[in-house]
Amino acid sequence: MSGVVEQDARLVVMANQIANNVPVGGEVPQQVADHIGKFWTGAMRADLKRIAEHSSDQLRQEVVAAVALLA
Amino acid sequence: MTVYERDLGTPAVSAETQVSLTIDGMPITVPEGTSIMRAAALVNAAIPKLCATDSLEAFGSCRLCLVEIEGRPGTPASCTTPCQEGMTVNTQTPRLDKLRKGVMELYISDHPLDCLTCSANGDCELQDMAGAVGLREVRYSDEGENHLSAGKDESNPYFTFDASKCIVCSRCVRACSEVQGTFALTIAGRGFGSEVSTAKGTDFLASDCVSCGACVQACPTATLQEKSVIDRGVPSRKVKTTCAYCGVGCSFTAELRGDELVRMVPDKQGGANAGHSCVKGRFAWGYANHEDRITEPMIRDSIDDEWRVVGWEEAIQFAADRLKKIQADHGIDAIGGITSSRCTNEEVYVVQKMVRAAFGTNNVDTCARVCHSPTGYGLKQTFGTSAGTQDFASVQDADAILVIGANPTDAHPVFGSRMKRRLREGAELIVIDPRAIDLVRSPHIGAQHHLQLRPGTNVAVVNAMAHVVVTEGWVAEEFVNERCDVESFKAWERFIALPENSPEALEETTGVPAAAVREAAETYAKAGNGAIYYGLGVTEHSQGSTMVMAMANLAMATGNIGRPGVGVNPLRGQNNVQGSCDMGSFPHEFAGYRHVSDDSARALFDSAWGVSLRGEPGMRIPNMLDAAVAGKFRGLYVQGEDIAQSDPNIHHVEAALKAMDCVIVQDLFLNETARFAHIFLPGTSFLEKDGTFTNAERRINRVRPVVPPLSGMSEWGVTCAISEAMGYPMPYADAAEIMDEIAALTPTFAGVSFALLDEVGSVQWPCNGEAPMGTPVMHEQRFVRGEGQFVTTPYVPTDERSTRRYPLLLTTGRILSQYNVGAQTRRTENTVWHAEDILDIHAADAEARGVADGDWIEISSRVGSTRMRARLSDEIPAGVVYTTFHHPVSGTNVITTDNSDWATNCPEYKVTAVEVRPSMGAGL
Amino acid sequence: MTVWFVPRDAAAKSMGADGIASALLARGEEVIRTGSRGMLWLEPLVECASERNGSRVGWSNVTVADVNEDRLDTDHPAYLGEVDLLTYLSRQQRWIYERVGIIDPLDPQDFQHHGGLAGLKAAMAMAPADVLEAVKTSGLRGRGGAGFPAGIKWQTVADQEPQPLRGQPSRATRHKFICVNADEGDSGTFADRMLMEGDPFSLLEGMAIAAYAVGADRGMIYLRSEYPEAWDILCGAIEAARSEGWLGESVLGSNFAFDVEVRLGAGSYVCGEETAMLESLEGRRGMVRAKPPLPAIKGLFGVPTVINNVLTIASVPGILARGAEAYAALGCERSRGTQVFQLAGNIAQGGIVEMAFGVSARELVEDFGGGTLSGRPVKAVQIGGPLGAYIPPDQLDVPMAYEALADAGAMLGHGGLVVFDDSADMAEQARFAMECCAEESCGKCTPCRIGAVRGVEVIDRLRQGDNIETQTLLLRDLCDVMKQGSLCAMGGLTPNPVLSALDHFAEDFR
Repeated sequence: MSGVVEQDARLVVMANQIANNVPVGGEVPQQVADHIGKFWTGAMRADLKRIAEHSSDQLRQEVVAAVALLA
Repeated sequence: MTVYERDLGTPAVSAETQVSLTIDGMPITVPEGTSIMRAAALVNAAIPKLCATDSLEAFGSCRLCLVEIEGRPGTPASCTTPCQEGMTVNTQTPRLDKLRKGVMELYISDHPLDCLTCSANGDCELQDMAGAVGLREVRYSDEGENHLSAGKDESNPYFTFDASKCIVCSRCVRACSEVQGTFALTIAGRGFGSEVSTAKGTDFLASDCVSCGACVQACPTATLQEKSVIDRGVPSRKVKTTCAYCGVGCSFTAELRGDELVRMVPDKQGGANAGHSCVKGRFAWGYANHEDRITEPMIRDSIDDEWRVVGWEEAIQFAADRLKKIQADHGIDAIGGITSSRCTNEEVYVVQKMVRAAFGTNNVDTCARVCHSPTGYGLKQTFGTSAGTQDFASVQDADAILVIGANPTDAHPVFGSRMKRRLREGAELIVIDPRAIDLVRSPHIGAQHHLQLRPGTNVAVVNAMAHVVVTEGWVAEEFVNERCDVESFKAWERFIALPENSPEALEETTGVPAAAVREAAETYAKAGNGAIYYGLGVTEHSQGSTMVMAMANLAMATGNIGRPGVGVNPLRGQNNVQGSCDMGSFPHEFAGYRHVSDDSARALFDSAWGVSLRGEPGMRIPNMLDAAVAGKFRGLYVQGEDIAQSDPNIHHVEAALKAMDCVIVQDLFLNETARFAHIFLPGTSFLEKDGTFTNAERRINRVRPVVPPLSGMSEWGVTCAISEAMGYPMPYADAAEIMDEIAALTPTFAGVSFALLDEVGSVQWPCNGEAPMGTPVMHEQRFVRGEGQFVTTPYVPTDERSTRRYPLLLTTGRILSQYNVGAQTRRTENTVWHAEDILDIHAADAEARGVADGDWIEISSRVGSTRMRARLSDEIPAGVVYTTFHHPVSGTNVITTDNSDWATNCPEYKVTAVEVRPSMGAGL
Repeated sequence: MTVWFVPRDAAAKSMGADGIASALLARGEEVIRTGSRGMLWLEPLVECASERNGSRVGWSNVTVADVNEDRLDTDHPAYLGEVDLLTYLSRQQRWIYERVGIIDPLDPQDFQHHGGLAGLKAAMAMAPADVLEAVKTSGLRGRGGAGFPAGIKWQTVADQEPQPLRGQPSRATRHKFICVNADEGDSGTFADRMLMEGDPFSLLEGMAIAAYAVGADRGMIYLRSEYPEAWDILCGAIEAARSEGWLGESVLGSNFAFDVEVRLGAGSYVCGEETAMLESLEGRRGMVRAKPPLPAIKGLFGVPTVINNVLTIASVPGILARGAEAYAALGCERSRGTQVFQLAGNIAQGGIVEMAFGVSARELVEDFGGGTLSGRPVKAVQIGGPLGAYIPPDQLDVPMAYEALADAGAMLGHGGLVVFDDSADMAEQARFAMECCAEESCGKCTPCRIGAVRGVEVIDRLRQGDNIETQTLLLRDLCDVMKQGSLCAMGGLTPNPVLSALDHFAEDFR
């Protein structure tokens, strides 16, 4: 299922990019969680949680922290 | 419908003082400065005229419009004489009759007498005026000097220039200068030898002419005449409608002879275009009847099968069955839809409604994803809604114009002409673009500042400008304190004042000299009204959304929001980008930009639609494609978009499409995406549509059916039929009913109806109880979100960087004569101007690679490669290459990557690291 | 020590003045190059004085041989005696031409010694509004042809706010202009040229006064390209005036800034029309603009602009120096002050005659001009340039003044008189008027663009005797259309010579 791998890779890139780009001054994990909560589907959020659990080394620390904040 | 087509001779004047006078015994009051000619036309005292037309400044050359003014000597020309208080004007006296007849006798003494066989017979002002002044004979010798044997220039594909019929009124020359601003035409020679000529002395095709049609429109005789009129005859009926090319949304009158379209004439009453047009809207409509049009539905089980032409009923049932089966097998969220910015609001609205209500998912996205989604995000965050702040006319009040990542003279030509007019009057111009676009230097226009930045460093440049504003003390304190969220301003101020945001610190990153940034910042902040206009050069970056917010910050900090002449204005690429976004095409938003998680909004739709809508966002296009490759997403309804050509990293798109069980394409032509489709639903051209388009200035314009749909069905009707076949009927009697539903469910559209639009022409949303006639300028008293929100915008370099392997940065753009993927314009004679995409490369880069002007080259990125010819250009700096993306054969998107905007996933089309090598030939 | 005065005026040069100057210099004489005295039949007129500002005696039609053979003495047949006492000069009322022919045009001291700069000094001691008042009181009217009161034109410009140049940002520097029309295109006129070549500082002084009065900061002289000598002299004078502090950032040491530049035309007659001149100055085709807007409100580059003829502006320093009343005391009716008449054509004594308004055409042609050069009877005098009417001899008593000439169906124009003897074919002259209009038309308005060509054709048919009554009617109708319908004075006035020829010399058309 290379497609699934590809899809995961995209989510990693997206999440890291969000963490890298949110406005400065606020708490990054909260901003990332808010953004993902607002624009991602439930399935994408679930996938990200799964990635954070199994291979969190691909994710920036702020993203890992954000995942914990996701509903 | 108010159709007001009389030519009042001279343009309207706005003045505070009114003057009252008497014309032929009739009293009239007009604004001071109004010409006698115009005032006379307003009291229906028709004064003969030939060189005057109300789209051009008075010229005073024909001398037919002479009048007598009591108490004044002589017979002044009414076009150039302003009304004065208490004047008594006589427009019809024996003396004037004789003079006018004498002038007309001179005209006719040098004009062919072939009226009956002339293509303008019945549509010729010279003919009309000869009748009006009662000319019965020409006493001059027919052996006198004349121009009757002057030649004909047929080089332009759309119109001819017949010098023998020219009366040298200069209307064409003036239209080219005043209206279009191209200055391609002039009068050569003098006296009797005066003749219309291209400025270069060449034929029209080889001249600077951009074929906008303004000269043809202005010509009072058959001298400049549409070839379609010569071929088909003078039109006999008219339908007002809206152009379907770019986001300017020009109003046109479609002129027909019987059911055959003869020409498209720009509408003087059009709010967006005020009577002007470009080569695409004016002339490039031939694709609508092109032989490639598919007019019958087609289906196939597998994309390896041949297409099978079927009836509508079968196609619709086939589609519904497939979609239902996918949902049964793979879950509700395994299908979705993409709406098109080329379609009407009504067509878009029913597609997103079908997806949300009939499919039961929020998996709907729009092609705006790949163009202006960052605009939606950025302007919503800062101002509170996703829309340009101004009307187009606002540019007329701008003192400093900041053009960023846009090329209005090519991509939004009719607005570009308005902007150029203002620039010629003295507005200062700042261009931020890697490329020296035409505005940087063209006739009578020159940018005071051209910040020729490295692609991908927009945010750094605008941050640096803002840094200068803040550190030099140029912040509009009063505006910020009264209108904006002060806390957010303070945080932004602290951030932007950091030394790392100074022009000096960023000089190396951006490649723009610090002094130039400082000067540009001063011009924008201090010239008076500062207006920002931007395009995809802003949005199609990894920091597209950040950049939109950075511009909004700059505008708020300098107080340049909320009045005519200022603002932050996206120039929308397609005719209905604004509308398709407004209509709830994004997976996270309902119509009117209300988040799907907003319980009250959802309750409204739930009750109106009789369903229970989902409260969490659906998938964006790239997520749909990724999920398709992963096998989780299997059915897609594609309305009028060609994602297999227009989306980045085509190989990936194709893999996704191939992986699906049901791809439905609704389009005019068998496009690239249709290669992977199972169902093809023939769409309608704009000439067949009934509905509305919303242009870049939020103007809702009517699109009226000029001819019946070739396919026999409206596009919204097809969508509704599929929805019904899936078990969710959407019974609309007509498009007007769809708009009524939109208005009922969308506060910003509450006042909109076809009836209102037919009455007043167009309105700009918000149009509701507070603003029953619409809103030309937004955020005048308060921002939509209340207080303007400053957002800190750190510059984060894109991952797409030039490397040793891919040392050049490719950026892309459009050209005047072609439109986007070219599906329409390539099927017209516009190809004479742009037959292929060409790579612009700096001479130094070319030389280093052994590439000469006109050589075939191969251009490759880390995802793919393609071939095209090269042109050495000094419009771009070394290290940057540039091309257009109008021809599928050039496959520009084979090389663009998956990189995208962090907030919206808008692709980073404007930066791709590439290498260029000589190539032996097209190789395809 | 003896000082010689040799004109460097173009007319004198064409008669060999340069060679004479060289010859004198070669002999170690001190030579001062001056303008011309305006007695053109005497050129080269060489003068001599015992000291620079002493009284001068002169010789006419001097040759290099006269100099080299040392023949210039009181016995020379062309010895004129004291030049100032020649009736042609002594009868004149020189106001504008006060210094022309006397001073070295490029010598600021000479200029000041002969009364130059007094006007500007007087003006700058007054408030600008008082200067405007003085010009109004003087009754000075435009010498370009239209005769519009200069003070009223200046007042209009003074009433405008300065503006940024057209196409410049609103925060750009704001300006008003003084434009001098030196495109002296009328055949038989040369007063502008001789003034510029003989006393250019007076023009600059007048411009500075105008600028001070209306609040202008820039001046422009539009000079016809056929005047290379005037170009050289004007450029030299501007440079000298700048170094004297008469022009520049600080005129006469004050806060008033004003500078002048000269632009060359390109040989088009119609560019003498003020709006076509503006187009030409702005770098476009010399095409007439419709008025309004008046140049006083939107002129050169769209900013308020005074446009005056050379002679109008050159009249101003004297008005300020000697008083507006003194000027107004000259002339008749509403034609006040002096006019510089130019005698040309078939005339024995051609040249400049500056007289108060009211002198008769006959006095000018017969008393000053001495009748025709050919000695044959005068057949017609064309007054006011090529667009002026032909006056038959029995009407020559008409006073030379705006009103009186208008009453006689003629016009003053730029003050030129061209004399024809009885051998002239007036139908040919009428045709020539139409042909000239066709040749020089800018091509903008229909009556001029097509009408002038048709005019030539109709006169040709008339002269061929083709249906004379019909063609005569057609010619009169055409003249009516041109006169009342043309955009500018060129098309509008071309019927003057045509109709006057037709009216007074009908026999020439058969």
